[in-house]
Amino acid sequence: MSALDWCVLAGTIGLIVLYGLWKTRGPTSMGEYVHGGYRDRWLTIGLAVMATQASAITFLSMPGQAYEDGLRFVQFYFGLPIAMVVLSVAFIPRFYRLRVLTAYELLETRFDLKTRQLAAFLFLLQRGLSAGVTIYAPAIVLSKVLGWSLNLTSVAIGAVVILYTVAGGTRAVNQTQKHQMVVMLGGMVVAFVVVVRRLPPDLSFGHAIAVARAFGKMNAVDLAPSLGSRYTLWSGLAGGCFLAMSYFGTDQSQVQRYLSGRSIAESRLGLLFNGLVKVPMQFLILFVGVMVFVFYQFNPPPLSFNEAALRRAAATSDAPRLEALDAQHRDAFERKRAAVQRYTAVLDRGGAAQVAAARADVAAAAAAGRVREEARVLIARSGPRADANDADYVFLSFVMANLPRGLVGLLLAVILCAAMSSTASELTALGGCTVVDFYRRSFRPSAPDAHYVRVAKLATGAWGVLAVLFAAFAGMVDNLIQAVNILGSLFYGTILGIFLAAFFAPRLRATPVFVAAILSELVVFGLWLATGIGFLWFNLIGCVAVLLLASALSASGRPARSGPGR
Amino acid sequence: MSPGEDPRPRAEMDDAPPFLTWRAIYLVVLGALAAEIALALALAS
Repeated sequence: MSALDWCVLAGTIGLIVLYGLWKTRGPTSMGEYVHGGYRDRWLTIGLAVMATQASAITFLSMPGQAYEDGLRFVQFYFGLPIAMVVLSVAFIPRFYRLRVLTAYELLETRFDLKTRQLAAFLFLLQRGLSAGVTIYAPAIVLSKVLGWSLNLTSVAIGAVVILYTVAGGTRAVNQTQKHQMVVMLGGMVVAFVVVVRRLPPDLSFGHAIAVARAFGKMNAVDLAPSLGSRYTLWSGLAGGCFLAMSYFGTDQSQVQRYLSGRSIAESRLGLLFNGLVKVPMQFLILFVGVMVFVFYQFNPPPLSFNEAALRRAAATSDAPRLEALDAQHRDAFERKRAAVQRYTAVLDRGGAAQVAAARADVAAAAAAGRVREEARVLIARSGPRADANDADYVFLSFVMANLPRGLVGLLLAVILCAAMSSTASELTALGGCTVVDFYRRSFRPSAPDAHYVRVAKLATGAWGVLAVLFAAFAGMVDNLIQAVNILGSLFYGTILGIFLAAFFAPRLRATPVFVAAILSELVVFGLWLATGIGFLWFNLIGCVAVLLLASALSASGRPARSGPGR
Repeated sequence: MSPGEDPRPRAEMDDAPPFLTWRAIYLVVLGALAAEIALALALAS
């Protein structure tokens, strides 16, 4: 990486963090620490909400996912705008009316302490694990690309985040996130412009899309009514809506963002801005990946985008086979490129039959050139922790090899901003929830507010150190990232069910809801272990299970009599 | 909740923004989603 790139990277990150610290005085009350003094406008809230959700994995993995699998992942976000409307109508007014610091505080008002602390505990468990992965996932990729050690990269990301979250609380987080999100969106637009400009000059934008379609990469909607298929229009609308309602409505790292608004209207507009912009933003990120794919139909891609893993495999006894595969890979690329060029040539002047035949040739050339899959097998056996799946490296590899000096630093800043913004939200939420829902509620209920701010800062720092430690040891657990991604869906449905029971089922009492939540978790885990249901559906299943089981338990009468809640 | 933490009166701030009613804003968000799904269907075909 050039000196200019390092300057852009360090300058972008440093300026944003310093600006956030400069704009925010040290918080003196829990209201200031947790909700930033209730001063934010809708645009700050909207950008902070988006920056919290957009982790580095979003910018590293999604273009690679589109490179491999096309646009279908965008369906995951189709339920989000619906959820934003539901939350604006039903959730935000209730949070405001009860003047809560954490979402879970509301559950004690409606039910009882044990239900509140069950939901808060599920949040701490799931979000605490996620915070480590939020640091670990980009660190493992950046460390390989930059040549740093994994632990140094994790500590570097974690230390900067801990510094400004502990110092400034939510207001510092929101202020920095506003600028981080601008850098992220701007960086992706720049990446899109660069990749389109790097396509062959005689290839029009329409032809580039036609090439992507010929390879099945424009498959943005799947109408198949299958429960097992992970991303369909139906799972996106139904499962995605429930996941978004759970995440934005009950996860303190998000609730904290929009409750920092100066009014209900600002909070609602912030969430609705997210509902309006999110799908186009995710589409842009995926579309960048599709355009990178088209770029590599005209320019030879490496045998593996994970160059470090490829070098390691080339140092084993498999080196001759890898060399042979590399030669085959280059031959296959030339044949495929010729087929793609014939296809684009007939698009304008050929008849329908010629276009169909040329498109079939492209598909045949693509199917014949699956050399990379054999290379992945060789990479996988080159070491115990060899990362054979190179999808996460596609975008960064393209950036490092093809972007001009200065822009490489900007795109790395995008990825670091994403890692820092989501981690910062998680840490302030974890620290605030630990103090408000456990320490202050159950251990020391009547100390001065300044004491709770000090403890919240300590708790935030402690969660940050835990996250860095977790990131350092995360590589010892196989398939960790996938496990933690699925973990969210296993818990969110149940937590949402508790909140929906609180809001819309006035006859349900505390103990039936508490018992139903535990039973629902068992049902969800049982279904996850025993069936092949796509994980998005668990958001819906867990939520419905809580409501049905709580109703059944209430109807049976016995648990209802023992419930202390209303 | 400790008293005096939140200095602002929240409940009376539930006004719609001056440019549109809430119902119209919700329709804009959901209408944009419908347009995005239609665009995605067109791209996929």
